[in-house]
Amino acid sequence: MSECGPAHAAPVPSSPPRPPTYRRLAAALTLGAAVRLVLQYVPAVAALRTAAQSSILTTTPLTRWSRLQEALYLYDRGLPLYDNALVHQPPLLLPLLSVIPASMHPLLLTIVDTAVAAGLATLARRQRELEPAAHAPIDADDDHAEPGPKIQGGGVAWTPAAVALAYLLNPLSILSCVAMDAGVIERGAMIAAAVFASGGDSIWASGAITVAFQMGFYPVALAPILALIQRRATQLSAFGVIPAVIISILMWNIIFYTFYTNVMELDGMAVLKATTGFVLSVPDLQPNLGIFWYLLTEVFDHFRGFFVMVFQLHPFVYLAPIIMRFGRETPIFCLTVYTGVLATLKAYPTVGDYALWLGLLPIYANTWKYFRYPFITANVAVYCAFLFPIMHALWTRFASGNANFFYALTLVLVLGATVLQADCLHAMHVRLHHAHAYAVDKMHAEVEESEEVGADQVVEGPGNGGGRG
Amino acid sequence: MEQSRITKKYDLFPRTLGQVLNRFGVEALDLTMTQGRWMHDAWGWPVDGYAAPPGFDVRAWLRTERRNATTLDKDWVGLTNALSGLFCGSLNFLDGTNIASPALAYKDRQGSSLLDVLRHGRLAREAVCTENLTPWGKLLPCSTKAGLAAALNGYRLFDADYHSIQTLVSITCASKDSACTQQLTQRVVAVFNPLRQSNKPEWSFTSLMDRPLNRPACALAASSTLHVTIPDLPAGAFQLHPADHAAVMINNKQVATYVYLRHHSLDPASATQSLRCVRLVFDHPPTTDFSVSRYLTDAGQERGILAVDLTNHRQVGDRTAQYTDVLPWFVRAYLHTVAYTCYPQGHATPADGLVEGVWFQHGIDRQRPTVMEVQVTVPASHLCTLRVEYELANLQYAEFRPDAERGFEVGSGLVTLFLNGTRPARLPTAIDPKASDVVRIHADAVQVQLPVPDFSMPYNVITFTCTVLAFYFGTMFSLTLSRAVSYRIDETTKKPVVVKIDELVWHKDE
Repeated sequence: MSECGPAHAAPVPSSPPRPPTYRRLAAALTLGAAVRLVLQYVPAVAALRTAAQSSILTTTPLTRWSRLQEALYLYDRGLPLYDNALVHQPPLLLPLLSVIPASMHPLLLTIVDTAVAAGLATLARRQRELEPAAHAPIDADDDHAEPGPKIQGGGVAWTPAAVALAYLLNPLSILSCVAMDAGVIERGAMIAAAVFASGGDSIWASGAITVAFQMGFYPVALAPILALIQRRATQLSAFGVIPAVIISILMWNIIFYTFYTNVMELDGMAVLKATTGFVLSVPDLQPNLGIFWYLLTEVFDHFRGFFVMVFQLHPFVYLAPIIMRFGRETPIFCLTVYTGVLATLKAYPTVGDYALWLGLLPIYANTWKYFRYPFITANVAVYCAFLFPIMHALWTRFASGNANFFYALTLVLVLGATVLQADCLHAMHVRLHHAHAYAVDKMHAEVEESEEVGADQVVEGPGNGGGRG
Repeated sequence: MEQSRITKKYDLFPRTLGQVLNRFGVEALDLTMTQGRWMHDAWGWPVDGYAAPPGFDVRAWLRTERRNATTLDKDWVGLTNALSGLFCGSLNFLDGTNIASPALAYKDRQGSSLLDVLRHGRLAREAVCTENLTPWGKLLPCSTKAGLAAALNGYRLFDADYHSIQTLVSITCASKDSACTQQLTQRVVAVFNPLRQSNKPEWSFTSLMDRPLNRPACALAASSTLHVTIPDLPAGAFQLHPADHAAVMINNKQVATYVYLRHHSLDPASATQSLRCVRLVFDHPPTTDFSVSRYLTDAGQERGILAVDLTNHRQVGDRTAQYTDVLPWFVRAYLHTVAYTCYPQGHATPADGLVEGVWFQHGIDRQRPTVMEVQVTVPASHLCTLRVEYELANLQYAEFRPDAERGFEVGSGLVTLFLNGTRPARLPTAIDPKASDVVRIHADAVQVQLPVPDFSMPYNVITFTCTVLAFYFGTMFSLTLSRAVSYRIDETTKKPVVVKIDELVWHKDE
């Protein structure tokens, strides 16, 4: 895509400037959707579909599509939905899915994934206005540059279309969509909540995050971050917005559960235990990308409760420092960092969670030049991408490896995620600091210049006014 | 515990068993201890049409009047513990996680009322040994001191290709509210292979059981008879000693009958030790006109497909079959994947599946097994396959058995054939008239391998995981709670020694 090339030299004179990014965005979305539809419907790649839909890297017991199919089967026949160990998704998807024919379910997931990409593009665009601190100039070249994407000393900022394309062509997100992971819908709800919040729309943001909460529980921790985004969008005070968002989420939950108990005639406690209770108590120890499963397999029963409790409290601990440090000026950066925290530390992660985190990173592409360890991160990504499926197959299909091979890779993945998070945070620190230092220098220089000009008003020379550069 | 409807007479009925049944409100009980599988394709229909599944199998019909679910659970626990004490088997492992109450199967073996609830548990892995045979023998009126049971030799019995020790209690009531009586049937079914044991094409009672038939018959027995089925061959092809015997027709077959007398042994006494048949001639293998095969497909330790092949060999006449399967909780079967396809034998195009009903109870982790019952029609000369897909669970460290790599047994499924008056050829008449319209075939037991963690690693796993988490925590907190500070470097700044050396080495000032 040409968004990284030099800007046009002269503007088009006569017609009113039509925003070009929508056309490029539409092209990016179409390309991403086409790739997914090809992989989902072409018979030649049916083996890839079958492998992805049952792989433990792309699906978990919480989100596997076969479990949703079981829930649909039970729902269509009026049988109890949660009287089993299989269904862990909330019932809100079922009325919609039972109306759409089964052959169109992959199309639905493609549409949701494309909407995620469009949401990322919207976030990227809105971030320009909401977070001026992240785009403040860091030196004089930056200051005098024309607005728009350009390769500059400060690092290139990607267009919204490029952000969308980066997510859509990320093999992790493609695999997640082809695998018919219900997490695609959960991530769609998360991004929708972020987009609504960045537009100042508190009610729909809470509604969307409630949907994501019911599907996976962890998105509820994004509530304060969404409140801060909304605060920057609407200039309200934080003390009012955070409680308002939390109360809205509670209200939406009450609405949903009333719908379940009265309209769908389910037992609310059974729904709660099967969905949120399942994620919180982690009874299913199927291997995945995370670090919970092996520890909970090996730990003695006596200590299991303690470890589960600590592991579930752990991701929430990171909210406070991230918000304290970055929440005021750059709440969308908080969202990016916290998405990474969730992908690494949640109970049942998939590659789709990492795809969402990697999809949010290009919004801050102008900080990438300050990364210290990109080589390590890239290497870890490649190692993990190749070795995870191999080690799992060695353990469960070929009986020649054992669980430790796969478990070691999960540790490597967490270490790689640590390095990438460290890079992101450090890069943002440095960029903010450089921008702040430049702003301070510029202010000092302007003060000096105005003093000089004031002092030598009658004498004007060519060398004065050179406080810059 | 009230059992006033059941007459208590313990002259023949063993008191130990009777009191256990009375105490826990059990109306009917089937307890079988089996090793091996009845090979229908080699041996035909089992004796009395009743073959037991491998392992220990307990079915109890519990009275439900004035008892709620909690009391029934307590009584079941008490019953299994008492039976495990009585029969020296690990029946106390039949707690809630591996018992089922099938809705469709065993309807012909009810208790006295339709309100009785059936609880069925199976231990597929249990081995049968003398410890089980001896207490079983003690339940007999004369125990193993007299009668035919005296000839049961544990060494030889447990060497058989198939052996099953069965204790069956059934109940009959004269009318709805009158007194009921319980009947106890104790049965040993065994399949010996004389060629393997003695390498000679003949067998005698002594060569099979290594014990002579020289004990007197039990004094309490009303009759004590030996039946030997005469093969359907010309008279010169075999010899049966003693030659003078009564011959009766049972099940369209000629059967030689020897009456075991009370006070002395088999008459004529000289031939007791040589009840033998010389020159075994192999009959053409008896076949059944319905065969069942159960197997697992799909490789790997994560998931699989359980498939059951039902073949109706009859040329004309469909069969109605019920398939009942109890899968342990770690074999998570999916109801929406239950599929039934029928192929005419020899053809590849499927006919319409003919499923009359599916009764499915999903399992809940560590609480109850999956129970699947499917009623199907198997058309004549068709091979029908019933398939269900499952996922295997990952167990916790302590839930694996010693030798975890061996895997877990998934006990055999049950096929119940409804005869509807069309009895297969060569099917023996059942002793129990209520069971005459139903034939049970137990399918093969299968074994699943669950993915096994490394059992030497608990400490290491906790240490490594927590170290990695501490690294993550430390990195994140130090980067979010610290601020970037910059300071100017110009010519007056003091450089650290390391930087000076570095510049010297790499000539950075040039």
